[in-house]
Amino acid sequence: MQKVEQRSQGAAYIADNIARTIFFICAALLVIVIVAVFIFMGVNAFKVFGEGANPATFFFSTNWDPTGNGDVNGNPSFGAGGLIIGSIVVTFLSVIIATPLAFGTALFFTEVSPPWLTRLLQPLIEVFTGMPSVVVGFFGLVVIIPFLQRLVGNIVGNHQTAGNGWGAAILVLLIMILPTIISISIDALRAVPNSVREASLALGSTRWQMMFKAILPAATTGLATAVVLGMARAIGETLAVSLVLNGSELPPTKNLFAIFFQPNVNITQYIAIDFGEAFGAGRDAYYTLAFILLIISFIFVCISRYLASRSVYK
Amino acid sequence: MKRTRLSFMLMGVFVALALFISACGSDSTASAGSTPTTGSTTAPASALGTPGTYTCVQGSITAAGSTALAPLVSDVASKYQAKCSGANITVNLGGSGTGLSSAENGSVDIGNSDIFSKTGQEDLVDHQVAVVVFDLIVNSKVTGVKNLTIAQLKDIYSGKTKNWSAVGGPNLPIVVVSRPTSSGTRATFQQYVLGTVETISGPANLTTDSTGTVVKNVQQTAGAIGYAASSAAKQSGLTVLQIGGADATAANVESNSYPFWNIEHMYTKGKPKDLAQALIDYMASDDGKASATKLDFIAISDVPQATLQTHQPK
Repeated sequence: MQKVEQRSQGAAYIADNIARTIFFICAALLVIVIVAVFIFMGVNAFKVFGEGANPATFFFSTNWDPTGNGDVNGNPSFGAGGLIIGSIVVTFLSVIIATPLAFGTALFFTEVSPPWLTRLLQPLIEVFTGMPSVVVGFFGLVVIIPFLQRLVGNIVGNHQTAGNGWGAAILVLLIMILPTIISISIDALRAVPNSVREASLALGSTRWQMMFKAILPAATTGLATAVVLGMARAIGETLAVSLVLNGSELPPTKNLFAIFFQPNVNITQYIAIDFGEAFGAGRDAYYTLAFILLIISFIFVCISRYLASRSVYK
Repeated sequence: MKRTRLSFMLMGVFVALALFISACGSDSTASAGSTPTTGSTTAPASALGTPGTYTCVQGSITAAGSTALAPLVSDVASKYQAKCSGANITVNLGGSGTGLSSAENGSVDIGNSDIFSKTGQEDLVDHQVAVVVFDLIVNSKVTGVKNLTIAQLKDIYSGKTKNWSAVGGPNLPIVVVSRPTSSGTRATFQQYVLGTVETISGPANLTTDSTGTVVKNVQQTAGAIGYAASSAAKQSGLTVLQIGGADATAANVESNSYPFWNIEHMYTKGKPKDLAQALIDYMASDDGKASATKLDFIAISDVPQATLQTHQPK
């Protein structure tokens, strides 16, 4: 009897060790892949500066023509300023708009909604989380753009192309990242122990005060993860965004309202539409753009992690 | 208890492996069984009653690059594979730039391209396989315009002509739908039609990634003009304009009265592999020509040498 137990324990240890080794290899592999991507992009990213690109104009000029086909003399110009601004503006605004909406929805599901409604709607949101971007992009192209055109065409001028641009891209990204942020936020809010709710209500809070002052702060870490994942999807989103941006450069207008509804650019759009055709220095320039994208997303993630770390609950 | 779980896991792994292996095995036998001809090296020409000899070579090759040429290569490749068992041809997309650079670095056997190889790619051997014709298409609201001269096109693509009424059309602003500067189609348009570069930008200009999106945008945007490969343009049902009074027909291309066409290339690094050579030869057979006609290409042998000379790099 005792012998049998010992033996099964021994087997359990072996299984434990095998599992530990496998998990360790998985984790190590992940780290290696990430580091390899960084090194690969980094090495390729600086090539273009030895091939005629000037670092100053690269970041501040807005004339992007890496193969020189758009120039009479065939001289390439590397001005990624417009593309970088596009990526930052579109990502930042879509996340800023999506976050409060998503938190509100998540609070509704965890604190307010009757259980049958949650059971009905939550699976629906989870289905939307995995919606293919080409579907959303096509929806943007045939529904959102004509709609925006009718809405703001008269104000912006240029009726026919009004609607393409940042505004449509932000709406498309909202559709894509809201379900992600909502469903992860729901899990984060559910993980807040009931004692927090009870304590807050016992101190005389209203329901709103309980949610806003007790539950949200208690779930900060989880909520930050939700926002970071949403942001990651927004900044890397390529197909859907390129279908609705449709620009060749940053519009020359100084009108801050009109600029959102005119054909415009961002980094991922240009990589999507032009990388396959580019060659030589032009191709290297796209590696630089991809590296910049990596850096921007890295910075965004760091900022949101920092904000989350200032949580009242430590 | 734990022991049984471990054995379950191991068994699961083995079952999965077994399934995987058997799936692979059955796959290869199926593909071998589905090809009709046996291992004869040179098939008789009587198969289709046409003179079109081809050499059956076993092996596998990959072609990648131009999205415009891909349908033709795929079509011819599938005919070839149906006749010759043991030949395995994969056709990938990626754009002309990708095709050229992949052929150059040896990651594919054939690089499909709309454009001539670049300086620094002198070891690539050019196999010209077809002529692709491009059409100028306009939105359905542009009525009454059947023809544009080169001078009118220059004014439109530099932004000088802003309204269709200036070229005999309705009072409707012109929207130019372009491809990005690295695009082979745009390079063809600039070199052989405009004779200069597109300088239009800003709100009257949309830039979109693929032939399909150009067509979609021209359909959807009132007053839009754009260019696309003939097959896509014809399928869209949009009005196809004459250029300088010449229709976009095969006869006009052969006499070079219609300028908007280009030579499609299949590049190999040095002397092609046997199967690659066989496929390239087969492109020129009657079967290859039938595919070209079906897909709105013109077989290269139908175009007089004098005409081809006009579309060589300067």
